[in-house]
Amino acid sequence: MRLPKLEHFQPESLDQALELLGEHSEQAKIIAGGTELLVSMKQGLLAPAYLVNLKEIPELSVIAHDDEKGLRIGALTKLAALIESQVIRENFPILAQAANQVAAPPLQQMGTLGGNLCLNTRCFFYNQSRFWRQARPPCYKTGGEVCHVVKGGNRCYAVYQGDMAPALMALEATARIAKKGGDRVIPLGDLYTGKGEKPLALEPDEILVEVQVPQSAMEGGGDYRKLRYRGAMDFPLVGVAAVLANDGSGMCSKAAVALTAVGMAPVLVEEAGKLLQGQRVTDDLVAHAADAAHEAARPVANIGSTHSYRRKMVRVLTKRAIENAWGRE
Amino acid sequence: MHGICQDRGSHHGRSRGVTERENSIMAEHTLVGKRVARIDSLGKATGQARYTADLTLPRMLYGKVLRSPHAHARILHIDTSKAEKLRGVRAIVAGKDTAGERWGVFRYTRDQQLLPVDKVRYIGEDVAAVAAEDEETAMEALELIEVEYEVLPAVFDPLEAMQEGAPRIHDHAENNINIHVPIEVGDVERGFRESYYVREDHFVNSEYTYCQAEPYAIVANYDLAGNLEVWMPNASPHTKAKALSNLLRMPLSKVKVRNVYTGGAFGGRSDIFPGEFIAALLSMKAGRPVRLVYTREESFTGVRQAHSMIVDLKTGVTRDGTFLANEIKVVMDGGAYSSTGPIATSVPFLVWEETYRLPNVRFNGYRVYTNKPIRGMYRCHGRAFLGGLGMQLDMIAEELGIDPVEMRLRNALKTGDTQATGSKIISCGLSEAIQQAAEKSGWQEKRGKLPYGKGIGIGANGMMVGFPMGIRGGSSAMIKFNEDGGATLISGVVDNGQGNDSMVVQVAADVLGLRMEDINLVSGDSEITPLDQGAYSQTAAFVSANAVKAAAIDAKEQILDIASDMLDAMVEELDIKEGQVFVKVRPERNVWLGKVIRTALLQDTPIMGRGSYIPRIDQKREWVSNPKGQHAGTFSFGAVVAEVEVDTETGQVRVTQVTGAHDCGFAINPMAVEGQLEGSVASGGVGATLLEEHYWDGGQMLNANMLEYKVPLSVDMPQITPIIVESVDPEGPFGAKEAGLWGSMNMFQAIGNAIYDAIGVWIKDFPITPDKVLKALEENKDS
Amino acid sequence: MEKQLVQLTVNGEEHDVVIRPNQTLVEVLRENLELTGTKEGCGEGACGTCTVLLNGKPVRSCLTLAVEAQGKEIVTIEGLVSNGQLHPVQKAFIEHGAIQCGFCTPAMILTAKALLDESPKPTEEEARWAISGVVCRCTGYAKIVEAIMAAAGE
Repeated sequence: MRLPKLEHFQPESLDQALELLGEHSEQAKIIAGGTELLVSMKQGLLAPAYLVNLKEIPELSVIAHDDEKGLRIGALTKLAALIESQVIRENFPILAQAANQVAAPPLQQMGTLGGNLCLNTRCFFYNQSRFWRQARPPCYKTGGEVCHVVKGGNRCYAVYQGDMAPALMALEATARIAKKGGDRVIPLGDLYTGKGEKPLALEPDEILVEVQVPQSAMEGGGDYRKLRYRGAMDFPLVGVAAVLANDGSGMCSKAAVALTAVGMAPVLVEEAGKLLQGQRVTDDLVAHAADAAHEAARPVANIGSTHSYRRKMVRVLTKRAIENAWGRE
Repeated sequence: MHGICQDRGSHHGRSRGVTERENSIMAEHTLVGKRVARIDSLGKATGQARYTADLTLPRMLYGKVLRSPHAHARILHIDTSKAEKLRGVRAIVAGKDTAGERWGVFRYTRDQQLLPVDKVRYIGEDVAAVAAEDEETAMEALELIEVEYEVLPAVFDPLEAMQEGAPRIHDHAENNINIHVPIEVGDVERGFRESYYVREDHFVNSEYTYCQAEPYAIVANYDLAGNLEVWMPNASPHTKAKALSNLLRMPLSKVKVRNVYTGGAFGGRSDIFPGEFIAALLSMKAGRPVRLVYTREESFTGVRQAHSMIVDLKTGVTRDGTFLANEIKVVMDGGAYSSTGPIATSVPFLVWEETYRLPNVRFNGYRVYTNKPIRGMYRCHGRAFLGGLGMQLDMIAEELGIDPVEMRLRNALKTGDTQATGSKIISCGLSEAIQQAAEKSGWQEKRGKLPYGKGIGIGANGMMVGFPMGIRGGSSAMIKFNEDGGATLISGVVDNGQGNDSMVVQVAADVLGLRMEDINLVSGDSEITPLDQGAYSQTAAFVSANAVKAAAIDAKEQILDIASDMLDAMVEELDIKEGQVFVKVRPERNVWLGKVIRTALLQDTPIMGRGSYIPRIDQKREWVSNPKGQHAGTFSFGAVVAEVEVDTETGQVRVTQVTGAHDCGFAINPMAVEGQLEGSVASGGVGATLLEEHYWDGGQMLNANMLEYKVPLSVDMPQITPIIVESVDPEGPFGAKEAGLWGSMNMFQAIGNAIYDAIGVWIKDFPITPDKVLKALEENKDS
Repeated sequence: MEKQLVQLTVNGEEHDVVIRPNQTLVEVLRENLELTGTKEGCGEGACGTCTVLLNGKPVRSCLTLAVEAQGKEIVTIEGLVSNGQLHPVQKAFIEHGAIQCGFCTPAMILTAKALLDESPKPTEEEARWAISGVVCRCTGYAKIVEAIMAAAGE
């Protein structure tokens, strides 16, 4: 399959990259691992005239940790590096666990944290070749006025399917976004618009450069459960991250549950966190928290399996994620 | 004198079976029956093996196809003028450039114009094509071709398509019924009346896709002398050549379909496709070679898919579980054209009568047209059907309190039996396969005794070997020798990865007392190799290797004849080993094979081995009009036991162990036989039963890619224990039958039955995805 | 779109190649360098037949731009034979019947080699996981895993 015409830049510093983005703006896209962007370009979904390759900017793939500031991970850090990192395995194992469930080893070798966090939303009717899409009117996500999944729907229901986002959101992560002239730091959850057709709150001249996790977030145990039919390769049909902290006396001092693949953005299930916090973790309580997650999930039938089954699995996986996270404490 | 072969002048070569004389000529096996490395492995392991998309010819052009975006539409007008003007475009073809011939595998199924003139009938159908200096230009040219369509109402569901008032896809097909196969044996009504227990069940199976690793590709080269050379992954160059010769109105001698490595077939490379027709036309028009490579999406929807099936079974049995009456109805979604329709519609029944004794049976198979991509044969069709019957068998067994293994043994065919529609069985290891699979898997200790969520189930199957293909049903082979003692085997055998090339060399080398590396193979070339049925109807061993064996024996006879003079011994006293012809009781009396070859040349009786084989079938048998009589040369049989673990909260099923026994007659290369068994556990088992299905929206497949169409990965596989059962067929070479079709036939039943053993629910809708398991569990709890 | 001259190190040899920036590594290997052992089975990173080793790690060459591969060690299947000798993984694949149609074979062999270079004595589970990104339709993976374990045993 062929790529459309493009011009390729390989800046050696973040400033250079931002300069290029500033210059070419809407006509440019950054390329990290390329495992999503190049596929989209081959399918004719995107045709940026300029590609700004971030791979040769070493400062973007640093993993740094100290007990005060917590964890900082550069957006260009490979998923494989996350899996192998001693620092991550010892302090934030849920991140290694989640990274190891993304696709399969060769794609973990190419894919980056930033790339996974900034995954475009997906849908059977969107992720298709130009020929395929030409056989029907364009949908909201491709600039049209219809949704092929929800007949009569008035918005885009494309699904966010990244695995790293729920794990990081459950860890209260923040994201640093850089652009020429200044950075901004936002809670990771704010990166996501909830809009299927434009899922990321990023301007064309902005780059997600780093993710930070406060040290306090990892006092407890964490678990990421992913539902997929095969044992590798597939995007999640449902993904649940749970992080629970034990106050030492068997009470849950802090809890967070986050979901992926159940809507147009990853979801932090605040209700579940509130239910668990300050409580003894009983089967009953876990079931309630799982109910809350189920409530927060709104899948539609656009990525395989059935949406009713996926919604049921939110409950099952949430229960398991919470139990495992608690058990790891 | 010494030789028994009197008539040297008009030596006709060997054919059929093994005679006593041949037995005395043959040495004990040096190669056959042994695990040997295949002759093609080295090229594949080093990247030297070239597949179609790897081939380049001087001045080659690149082709691309314009496809219909409509499921059903009249073609009003095609304007290629703008595209023709694009720099770098060298040829454009459309329906108007063809002779308008309709193609059909059978004379009575000629329903497809490979480049349609009047109508398109599925999204993705080939409408026009371009050859240009590079792929990008070809793709750009496609955008410039203007096609005016009149969109027609379309129908996508086979049951809907059969209703009154449904859009008519082909003028000749009322109710869109492409093929109806009715088979009636015995007295079905009486059989049901006399049955102790009767039950009816309904099964559904999604369609599948071959998803061979190699996407489809064609290279075509037409020269000014009117020769057309074509390369493409295929299961029979002779079949492709004949079709092209018909469609292009060229003599067969001018259509040369060459041998090329094929990256998997599984039935999906078999009959003729628009791609090769288009590539040939482009090459003819441009006067240059053309290479046309399909994308993966095109490989999913622009070649062939496997039928979906709706199956209704009514079965009556005696008190001890023996079949008394079977009534079977199958509706298959055939897509837009007929492909191998009559075969497709019959096989689902035939594989059943090839397994069990069915005294009274009525079958009605319907292949229905829909506005979807064309469905062909997938590793012989019939899996869902067998899955259905194989599960119903267990349901009956449960009702009667009989063990499923026992139930199968009671109904299993045996050597000497005659099948329902009249085929005699000359070798049968079915019972043995069932017993061995059961024993090796620990069936008795496990069935009904494993903890909730874990289960074990069995499936069994019979498989035709060598079915009616008219003049194309047989194979012949030749062997020529070099003066230094090496040989070249010329055989029409086709290798799609199963190991067929290596197998025939192994056979020839064994007979001739040579090493495998001393024999070259020229195979699967429609110009050079004699007619061969191809990798069809499971015949590579039974037919192609049989012909090769006959040719080798013929050559050996000639060699021993000449050598008997040279060694002053009787032919019966001689043998060949490691390139030396020697007197058996006095091996120091010997002569080098090369010398024998030279002597033969000087005597004007050069050594040339000839052999052929065609299965002994009833040539009057016809799929639709006369489905009675000897259907195949022989039958192979198999049984498989699968163990599963069900996660009852998510419905996910994991196959943990597979123990499979296959009666292949005789394993010429046991390693290759195992490879086939193991491969089909993936595709026919884990894949087809649990993971693989098509998602559709109207006439569009939603998951025509390798991420969303779930082919099993290494981590999805169970432990596999293959067992080879050898019933030693009287007709097959060294007793060999076939080994490629096994798991595709029986894994459905084994897994479906194992799931029942694990969680007490029967799931009759394949593939058995987790959501269906969950739903079945929930419904079971409610009831 | 301007063509550019790049230097690619493939199987230990340096090549000067004139390419366009929109060419993927698999295209350049197959078309410019005529190394057709690397295949394009899907073009979307889902099948793995385009696998090459980039600085020793298996990657999808269909999703790697050729320009990005500059300055890196690229190893294709053609690079495994050394001094006419097969690599132990190649030998094991041949001896254990791990090759049927052969289309996934280069990818499997390279992936296995990379695994054994890093982890000389993997468990069967590790071997299965390492090849979980390459699709095989013929073998059911059984003899492939067997061959990898056998090569590891050497």
